[in-house]
Amino acid sequence: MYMNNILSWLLFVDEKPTNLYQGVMGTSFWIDLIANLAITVSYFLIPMGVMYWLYRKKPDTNKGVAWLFSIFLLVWGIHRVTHIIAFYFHFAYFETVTDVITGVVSVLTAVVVWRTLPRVFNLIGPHEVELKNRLIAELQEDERRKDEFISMASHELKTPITSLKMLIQLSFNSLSENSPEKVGPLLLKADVQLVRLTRLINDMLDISKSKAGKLEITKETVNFDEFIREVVQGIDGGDHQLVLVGKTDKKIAIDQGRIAQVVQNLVNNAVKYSPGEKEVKIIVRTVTGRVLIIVKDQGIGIPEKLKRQIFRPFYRIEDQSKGSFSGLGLGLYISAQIVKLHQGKIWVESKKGQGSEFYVVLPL
Amino acid sequence: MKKVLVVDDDKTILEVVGILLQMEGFMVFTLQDGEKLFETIDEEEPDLVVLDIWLPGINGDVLAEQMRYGKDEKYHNIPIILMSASSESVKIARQSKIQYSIEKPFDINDFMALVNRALSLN
Repeated sequence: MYMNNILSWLLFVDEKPTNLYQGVMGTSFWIDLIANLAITVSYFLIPMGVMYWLYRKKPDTNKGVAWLFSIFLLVWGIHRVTHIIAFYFHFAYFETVTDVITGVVSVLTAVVVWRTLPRVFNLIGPHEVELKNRLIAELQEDERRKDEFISMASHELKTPITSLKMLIQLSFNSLSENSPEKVGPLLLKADVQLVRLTRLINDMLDISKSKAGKLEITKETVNFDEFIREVVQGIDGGDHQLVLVGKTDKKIAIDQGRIAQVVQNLVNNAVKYSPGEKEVKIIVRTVTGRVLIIVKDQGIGIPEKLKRQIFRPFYRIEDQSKGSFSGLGLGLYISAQIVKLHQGKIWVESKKGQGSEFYVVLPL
Repeated sequence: MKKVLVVDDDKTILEVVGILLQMEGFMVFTLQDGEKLFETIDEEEPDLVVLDIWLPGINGDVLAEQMRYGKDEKYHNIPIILMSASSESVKIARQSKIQYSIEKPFDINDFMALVNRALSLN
């Protein structure tokens, strides 16, 4: 009963003249009718498309406003249907009900759209998304390197600590076994490990100084040939023979400690990355008023694409087929910073598997 | 006299572990990498092999697996101790199914206890 009552109420035709009142079905009538049909079909198809997209893609943001906007267009589609019907009849209450619904949905949509605008303006475009993604990737890579550095640092620090701990315990044992003559050599070895530990810690401090722009040098004029001879003599090449070739006959203003550190880093790397080889060459000469130092090994070499990266902090060459190389990946970065502070240049020439030549140029 | 072969890339560790083992009455052979491991085992016939995990060339855990599960059965029963400064050493040893492992820095008494256990159980 209720349904019948509602239907007959909705379908009540009032006495208002229809859009066809004048009874003229001329060109303007047909244009009007076709245009209204096109608008109506579009009003249904557009929101259906948007709703299908919403259903399939399930976007993260502004879902609500997109659904509301689709409903708003659908309601307008229905409103247009009543407009077309009105060419023939005026269902007075049906029109009123669709008008009211359309009005309410329209006002609601308008309010929601305007309230959403500030949030939409804050959304970033595809270019900014790409930039943001690249920055995130770089940060993640930095983070990964730092994590790796922390694990490497703890490994590197633990190695001399292991020797120190054993040497001290052996010294105690020697004393308790009444063999004090054994203690001296053990403590000498312990002292060498302390020097090694100090150097590792200094490298770590240097990197934080360098990052803060606080790495400083104090230059003194020295006889370069004497200086480099002393530095090379002071390096323990292990199984490798360190061969110093050439001379410059020049005096040069450098921070002796820092340039010695650069040469030590390069020679230690050359030794480390040429397992099984017996010789590392340190070649010095003058080139157009500058001093050139070359450290040459026959080791595993450096692939072309990594030649720049090795001067970045925390970077170490890894070669799965060659196992693991210890080190913090700080030496070359610190060396490059020191050379830069001397207005010099550092670079490498190398091929994978064919050894490396590190070049340092220092102005006189 | 029992023979021990120690492999570590750090010369000082090799030297100090060598001193310790000699003081305890062992004969010690050392290598800085695993390149000549099998050759040295053939020559010296050690009763125990102590391998550092982090080595230039082939890593210690891989060498241990090659010894334990390789084709050549003569290496299968030589006891192995894996050592490393990494806190993962125990995990790596377990993954390689190597029974004995020790993390650096270690107490020399703990190390010797492990050496004696590995030898006596053999």
